[in-house]
Amino acid sequence: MFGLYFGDYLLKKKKISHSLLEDVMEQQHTSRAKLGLIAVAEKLLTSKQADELNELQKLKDSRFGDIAIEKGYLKKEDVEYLLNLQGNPYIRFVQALTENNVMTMDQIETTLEEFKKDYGLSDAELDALKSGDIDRIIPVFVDTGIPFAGECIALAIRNIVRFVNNNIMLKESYIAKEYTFTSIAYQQLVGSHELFVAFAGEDEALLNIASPFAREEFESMDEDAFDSICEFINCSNGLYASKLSREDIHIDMTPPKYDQNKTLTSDGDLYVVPIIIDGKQSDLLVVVDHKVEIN
Amino acid sequence: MAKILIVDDSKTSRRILKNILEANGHTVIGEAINGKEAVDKFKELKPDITTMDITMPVMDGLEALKKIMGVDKDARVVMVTAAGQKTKMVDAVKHGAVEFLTKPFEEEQIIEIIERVINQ
Repeated sequence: MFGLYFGDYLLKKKKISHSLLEDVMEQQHTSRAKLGLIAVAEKLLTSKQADELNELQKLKDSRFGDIAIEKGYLKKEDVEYLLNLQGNPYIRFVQALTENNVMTMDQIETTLEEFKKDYGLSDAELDALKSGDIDRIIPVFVDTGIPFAGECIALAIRNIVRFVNNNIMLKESYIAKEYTFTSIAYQQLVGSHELFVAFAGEDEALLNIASPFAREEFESMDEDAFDSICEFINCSNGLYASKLSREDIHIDMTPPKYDQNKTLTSDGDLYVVPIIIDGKQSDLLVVVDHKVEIN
Repeated sequence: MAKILIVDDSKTSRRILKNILEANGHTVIGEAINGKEAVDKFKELKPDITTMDITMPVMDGLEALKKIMGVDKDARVVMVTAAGQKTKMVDAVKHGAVEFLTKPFEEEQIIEIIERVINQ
């Protein structure tokens, strides 16, 4: 996931072309990160030390880590730590950038600092993005502390990752009073609390949820494609309702519905969470204990 | 291997379930989109196992379960629920449901439960 966020930033800053970014994104899934590069990224070695070790490795029949220990640059536990990071999405993306000569490691470090500053990220938030762990990433973009809405949103996002696409990008969530949509699939939950949960967006974006969830390629947002998103919402809300029932809060799910080309209004806060799936933005919409109208 | 009737108003769910069952050697002999249709198809097709969604229009899964058990007290009906429908699960057990499948579907869980029902 880190590649989506940082890659998008590099595009905006014109530091990479679309086609080169595609190559980098592709490569990050196939290549295994090199230990030297991870060590530099983790600031355990300087670029110069890594280059020196790489040169030595060409002359010796030894592993990079062993040579680094022999030279006294790394300890055994450092090497073990670095080996554990080889599958890390951040490291793999960074390696793909350097191998495609997009940037050097030093330039990546500088750009990463700018990225952090421009997006107002703390060190912990940047680490969360680097980790690729959705549970750590969600709170960077969503206020998960909002009663009911926060948990409901977090669960829906986790279910997107689990059942639809594990490589998504979140954008900063916001509060609205109305929302105009091309297409929407939604469900209302009633009982101790009332919740309105929906996915809305352009048809192309919603197809990126409908097709993978149904495991079928839909050409357009027809009845079957809407049925797939409705069923996804139903399943996700079912898991949420189940969680609430363990806290003695009981809600029932009404049949999901869908609509097109209208405006949704709420007399309370409408939480909007933009989710980018395969480059297209769908919005997750949640309203808690307030009336929702679609006209 | 079992002859199975799938009852669900969601085409997506019917298709996912059908694909999983058929990939594991079972035969889906029919599908119904609501409880009323389920009762008619149960009488007509006499399936070994019926998978029954709970929330459906026209006639819900609980009502259909009661009617099917009235037709055949030995019918093996597996209720399909979104995870949150705990109260309805309890009702379904009272009325003769033999097992539960929870959505979203996971292949391993489905096959394990169907095998268990076959061996009952």
